[in-house]
Amino acid sequence: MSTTLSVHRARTVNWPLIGFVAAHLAVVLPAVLLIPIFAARLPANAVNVESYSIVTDIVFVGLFLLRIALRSDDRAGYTLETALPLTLGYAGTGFFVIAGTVLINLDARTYQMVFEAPAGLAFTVFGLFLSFGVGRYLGSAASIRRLRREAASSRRIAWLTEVDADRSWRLAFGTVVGIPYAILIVLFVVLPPGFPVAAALLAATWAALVLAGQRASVFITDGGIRVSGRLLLGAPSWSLALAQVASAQAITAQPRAMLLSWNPGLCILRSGPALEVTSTTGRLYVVSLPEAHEAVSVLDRLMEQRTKGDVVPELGL
Amino acid sequence: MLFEIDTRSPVPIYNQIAACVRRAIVAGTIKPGAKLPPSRDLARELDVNMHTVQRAYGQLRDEGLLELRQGRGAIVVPGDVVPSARLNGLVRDLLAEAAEQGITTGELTKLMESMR
Repeated sequence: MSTTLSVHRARTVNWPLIGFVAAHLAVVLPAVLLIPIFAARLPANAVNVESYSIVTDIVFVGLFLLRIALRSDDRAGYTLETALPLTLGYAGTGFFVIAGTVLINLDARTYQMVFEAPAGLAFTVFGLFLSFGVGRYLGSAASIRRLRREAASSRRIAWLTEVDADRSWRLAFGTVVGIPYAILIVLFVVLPPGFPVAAALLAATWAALVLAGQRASVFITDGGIRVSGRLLLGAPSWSLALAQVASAQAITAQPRAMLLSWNPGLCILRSGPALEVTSTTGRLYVVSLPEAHEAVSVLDRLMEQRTKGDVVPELGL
Repeated sequence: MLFEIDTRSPVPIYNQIAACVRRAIVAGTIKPGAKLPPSRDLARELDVNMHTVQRAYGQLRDEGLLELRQGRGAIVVPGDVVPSARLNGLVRDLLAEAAEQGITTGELTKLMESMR
């Protein structure tokens, strides 16, 4: 009996981890293989591309593996709907960075970073949006499928709204993202031979991200609740099936709560009313919502409907 | 904004979606100038075809309740649209009730004329 249980546990723990690493490698490896294939036509120090890829990939994969491993509840859902879309975006961008670097350095005399050539930069930016777009699309599709499976009734209910970021979010986000950006910018400037263009690009990207702000769509249906970031490559996004919702309440939240928080379920874009959902495992999910009380009412009634089976109460909102 | 449909109802789904918007306008849940959810999002969440939602929005535009602007989506027309929305809503509800009872629009019209 105990043997069966431990085998089952091992499978549920390992498949998301294996899938995550496999997906990452499947996207990045083809680009890395371009380096030995075109080695004869590349400048001598083009090996820099490979070292860049390996170091950043190990850090990225290691961090996400840790997060997946620590996620004792809904590990498969977290991997499929959050970690894999992000890794597809990241690994896809890595693919375009490496492939772009190889392409612009073919038959060149001196090594050039991908960001230093307009064609390479355009190729990378295109790849970044494409990769995160595909990842985001697949992640959304996975969560929609899961929530739709929850709702088997012919009666369908959907409550939709959108929320925009305010100044307090820009301050908090600018600080959170600004610290690693500042470290990278300093490294780019200080480390020989110095990459001022890359440093300037990073600074410009940080400013653009903060100025662009963020917008999130909130969907409450008879399947559950889904929050989807519209900008910033789709993050933060989260979803909970109705069966996973223990309680919901309207609270007052501040974006600074996201500072130094590891909780991916925080989507606090404004200072003020927010919807706080507690999952059946005790995990907290928060989304800024001016109509938080209305959302709580909808969720409560949907949960009541679910508890009673097929009886659908009139929402009357 | 809340949308509620029943796929087994004899009332076409696009009519049900349009009725939700009308009810929300009459109840004041959505104000003039407010933006409705993109048809793609709404269709996905209700698990219906996007053209069904677009047809509902088109119907509301024809009734003068919505403006459909390229790139900006569906917007509730500014100004007081409640009287026309209320009348439209009553007529739609009547038609839906008649359809559920198997009464055709022609028979309903005759019934109304006989009451004059």
